[in-house]
Amino acid sequence: QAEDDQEMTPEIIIKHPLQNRWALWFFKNDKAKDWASNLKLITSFDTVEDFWALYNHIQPASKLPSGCDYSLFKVNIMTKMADTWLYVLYGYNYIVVLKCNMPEYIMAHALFVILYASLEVFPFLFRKKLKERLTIPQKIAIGFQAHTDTIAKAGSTTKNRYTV
Amino acid sequence: EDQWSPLNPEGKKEYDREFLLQMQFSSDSLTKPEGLPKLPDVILERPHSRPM
Repeated sequence: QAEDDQEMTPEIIIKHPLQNRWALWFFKNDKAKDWASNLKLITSFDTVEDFWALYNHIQPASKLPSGCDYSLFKVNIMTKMADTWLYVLYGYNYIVVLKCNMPEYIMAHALFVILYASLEVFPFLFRKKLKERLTIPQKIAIGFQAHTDTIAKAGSTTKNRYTV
Repeated sequence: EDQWSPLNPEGKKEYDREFLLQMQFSSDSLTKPEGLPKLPDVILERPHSRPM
């Protein structure tokens, strides 16, 4: 009887909530696809138990195939990023040009940060922070070009819409 | 103490390390989440246990 009573206590029935909802994203580097298609939302969670359930049912990062990784974001941040990104893809369709040689995986991360920054009204405010984050020397320019300009271009260079 | 509990739902949602680690093997934590995408490289059918 005592055991039955214990099983009915709310502690056991209710999962332990977290302060925020988190989303886990999986990135697979497949060169045949564009970056958008390579990033997949796995799921989101907002309790201790749901975190562990997810953790217990995914490959540890160390066992992922090469070129793959996980990202964990607070849902509100990721939603904002995803919005930005869709905006970029289907709205203005910006191409981000990093004028330096960078490995592709860094490019992918750079895209995230840059696109996030591009949402802001004053992208130049992010110039320093952005480059520090990406360990890009301050003197190297990051240009934002509109895809429509690139398609329509007559010469070999496309004018940057703005530069940070 | 203003710790979250079912009886104090507005309390702080902070848990110590011991508690969090202990929760890894609760029955809810060993149940596969629903609605996961089909990603054979990533998603496991059964829970694995591994040390932290």
